[in-house]
Amino acid sequence: MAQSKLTPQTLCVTSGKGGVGKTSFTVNFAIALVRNDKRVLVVDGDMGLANVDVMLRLSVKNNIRDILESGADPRQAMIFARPNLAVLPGSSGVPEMVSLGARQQNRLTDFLKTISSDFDYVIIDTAAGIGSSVLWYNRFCDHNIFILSPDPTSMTDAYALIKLLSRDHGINQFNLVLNFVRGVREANHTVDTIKRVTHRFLNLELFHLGSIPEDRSVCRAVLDQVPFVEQTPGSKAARAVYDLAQRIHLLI
Amino acid sequence: MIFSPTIHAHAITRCRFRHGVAAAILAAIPAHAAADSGDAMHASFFWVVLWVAVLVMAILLSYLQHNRMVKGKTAELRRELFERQTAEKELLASDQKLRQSLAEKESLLKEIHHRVKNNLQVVSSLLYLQEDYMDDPKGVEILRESQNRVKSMALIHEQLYGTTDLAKIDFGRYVRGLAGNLFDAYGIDPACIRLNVRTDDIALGADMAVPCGLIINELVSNALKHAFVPDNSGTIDIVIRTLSAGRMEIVVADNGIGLAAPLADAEKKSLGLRLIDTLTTQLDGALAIETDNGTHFSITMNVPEQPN
Ligand SMILES: Nc1ncnc2c1ncn2[C@@H]1O[C@H](COP(=O)(O)OP(=O)(O)O)[C@@H](O)[C@H]1O
Ligand SMILES: [Mg+2]
Repeated sequence: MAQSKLTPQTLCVTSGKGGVGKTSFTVNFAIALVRNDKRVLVVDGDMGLANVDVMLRLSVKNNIRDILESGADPRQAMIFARPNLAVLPGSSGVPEMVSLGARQQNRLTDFLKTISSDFDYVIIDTAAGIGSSVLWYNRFCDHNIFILSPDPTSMTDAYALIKLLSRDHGINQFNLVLNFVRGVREANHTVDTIKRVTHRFLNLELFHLGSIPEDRSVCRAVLDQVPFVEQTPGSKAARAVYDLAQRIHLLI
Repeated sequence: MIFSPTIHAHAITRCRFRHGVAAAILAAIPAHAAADSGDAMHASFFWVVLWVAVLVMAILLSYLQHNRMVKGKTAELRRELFERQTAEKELLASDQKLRQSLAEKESLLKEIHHRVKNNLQVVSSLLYLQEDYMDDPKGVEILRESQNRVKSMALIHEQLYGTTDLAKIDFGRYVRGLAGNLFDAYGIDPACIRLNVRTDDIALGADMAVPCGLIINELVSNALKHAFVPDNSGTIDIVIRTLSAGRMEIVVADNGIGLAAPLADAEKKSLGLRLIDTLTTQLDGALAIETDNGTHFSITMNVPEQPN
């Protein structure tokens, strides 16, 4: 069951559109994985609107940029939010990839690889949009997870990002997680539609890992700064996230 | 007294409630109302109010249900619209890409025709320059003939890069240009030797236009050189016409002195005549010669389907 120490699986959570639940998925999914005896590192890749630390009510002390420059142990930048759950907070200054030269990018890659080696899974929460740091993280990871809502604008943005990644960055395997789902019918229709479009025009097959229903307990948990899988483990959304965590080996 | 609630209820039915479910529920009212025989007036009033409340609830629920269904359906339609819009955008983009690559190919092809023409012109110029080193007038003439052949091939490429359809050449226009070049080359005054060109609307690919052009080049050269010997005046007719069913005919005729030597003797034939033979065979054509009144060459051959 335990993953090899040397090769943690890196997952990148993206959506194209903001507000579709990337951060809440990342945090809760990570906790669900920890409950399954996995060691998980969450990297907050959203520089502008970093909020993984907010959702977990963490206080950030160390700055990654300083650590990178001083050559100190990069592990100092990590915060253990729970046993076996570490967070690399974005607001602690993960340098924007764009601003980095090739050499510094390599150093950051090394940094992430060093810091990842003690974990089974590394989950990167990315920013909205198609900024170059989003592209960088998507290239860097092993599995790309797209969070999608049944809203057509979310589908349009996701499609645009998938197209960009497959055409210009050679990524051709994507996983879908539907959020804000109000029924099986809606979920199926959304998945079918986006699958049809990507199959027809990008010749890509997407894998639908699962769906998270729209649930008021999610909003409440955000307000309380407690992940909903902990606050209301019996809620529909929490059960869905636990199911997703059980299916993690299916990721393409 | 017993009937009044029924009537009352029916009145309400007629006035306010048309919903199927509501009507069914309402139909049950008299049974309940009639069961209360004691204080019937008050009891019936109570029941009516209760049923009205139930009905309002039922209507409200069905309205909400309806609303949800409409919302769901609307969202579904929006997603379908998303699919269509994406499809439209993608098709438009791929169409544009195709057009662009076609335009690129066309300009490349034009460039190539241009360069081929330039190279052929260089070859022709080299032949011209070599004339100076040739003392033998026969040799000079041979060099001139070669120049004309090269030029008539260059003309095809020149015309190809100047047209919109790079695959086809307007053969009538080409023949006029070709004959004009030959008149210049032999220093013929167009007032003395009249040239009539009549062509049907025929478009040929370069693979056919080159041999046909060379044949016409030889025939017109021969006529200009040999046909009008004493006074250098007469008429040359060039006719290009489509015959029935995918065949065409090229006629080059003059009203000069007529063909002197018999054509059968292959060894003694000039290069020009041998070229005509070879090219006609290459084109799978048939050559016919009449020498009644001047010389009349006719070559018939198959042509590809002409677009209309
Ligand atoms: N399944 C859900 N049901 C209800 N609300 C949700 C759900 N998922 C996310 N939300 C709400 O959506 C908002 C945006 O979520 P967030 O994870 O910050 O999105 P992102 O990181 O993609 O910008 C949050 O306030 C959260 O409460
Ligand atoms: Mg976020």
